[in-house]
Amino acid sequence: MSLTEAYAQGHNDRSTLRKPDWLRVPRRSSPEQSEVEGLLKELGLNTVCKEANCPNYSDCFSRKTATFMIMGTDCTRNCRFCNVKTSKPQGLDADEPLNVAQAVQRLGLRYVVITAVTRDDLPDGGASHFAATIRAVRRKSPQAAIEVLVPDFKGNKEAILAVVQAGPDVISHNIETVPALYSRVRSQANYRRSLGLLAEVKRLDSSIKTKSGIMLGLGEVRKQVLEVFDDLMEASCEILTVGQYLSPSLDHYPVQEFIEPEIFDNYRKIAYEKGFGFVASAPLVRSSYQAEEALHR
Amino acid sequence: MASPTDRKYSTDHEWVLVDGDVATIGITKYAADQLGSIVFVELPEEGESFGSEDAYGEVESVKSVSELLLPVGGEVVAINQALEDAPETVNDDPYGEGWLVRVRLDNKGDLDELIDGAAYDASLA
Repeated sequence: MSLTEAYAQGHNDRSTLRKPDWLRVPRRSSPEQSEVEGLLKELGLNTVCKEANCPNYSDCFSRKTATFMIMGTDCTRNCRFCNVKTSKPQGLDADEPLNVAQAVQRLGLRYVVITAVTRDDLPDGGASHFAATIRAVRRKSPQAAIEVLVPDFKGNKEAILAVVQAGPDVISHNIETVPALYSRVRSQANYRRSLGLLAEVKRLDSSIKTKSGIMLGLGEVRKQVLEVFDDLMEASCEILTVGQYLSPSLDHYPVQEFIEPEIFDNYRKIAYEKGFGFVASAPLVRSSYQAEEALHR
Repeated sequence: MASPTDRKYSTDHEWVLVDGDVATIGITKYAADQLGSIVFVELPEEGESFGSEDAYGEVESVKSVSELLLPVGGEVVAINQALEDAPETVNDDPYGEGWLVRVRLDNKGDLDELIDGAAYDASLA
């Protein structure tokens, strides 16, 4: 798409295409980054880091950490903020759980984050594959803490139970944005269903920490954000991440606003006052950011 | 798809196409793809001089920013003005219309530090 077409489509003028200086992250290479990339390629593994084109990619990979994305790179949904392709997915790779476990072991990870594309094509939404991956990692790296960032499984309680029973340390499910914007950017999801998943996890096993993340800059207002914080607290969510939305491409939902770092600081303060156990809130925060620290707080 | 063989490459994903003592510089398709949709290209002024490996500009995409490092030292004799209104040209045609600057080479010896298309492609594998 050309820049002119992008403006016509609603990408605001250059002020929301060019990033403010606090969001300008250089992409660097490093031997560590290449090492991680090599290992992922060898084991046939994907990361959301690459598929979502995360600005923190170099930073995390250089520290030899990555967020695995299982069940392929094709998602059955089409959220307007997400870079992952929407397409009819392939069959599941039965070796994937073991390959993830091997990668974790070879990278010596103490904290592992595993996410996935949404697989509405599978009867259990992929919950058993998630569970198998958690178990494989536990076997090979018993000292590692495991966080899974799950889709909503269409609210399927058996699916949620399957993941809970595999015993991860943290189950995360991102609320992404305020309910008023769901129809615009996350039309195949349901705000109440997403809150319900978090509450259900706690109901099934209160020892598992729950976590959720929200992006700012999609057109939400402060009052709406604070209501989401309240709703998450009511669903017993303990860990919160708040970051700035960046448009993955000119074909995605345009950034509506760049939120100043001070506002992120203020949201962090308020979230702690509301009772969250751990809050990461800054423009470049993504759901895996400071993930390990959140668990040990 | 193999990188064009009519030019040389730096390990920072820039290409150099030499004609006499003037070199045209751009970024490779790999670099453009990694960046994503490019929304702004910051280029130097004509007449500015740079040494090899100096930062001469910036490429900004929807998600990140990348410094441009000059693979060969010289004086800027032309910049690609079209990129001001159509920065996406770098994504669409990185080896052709998406060129960035032309420099008059200070020292042809700088070219010896560069690698050919096959070696560049091998480094990406």
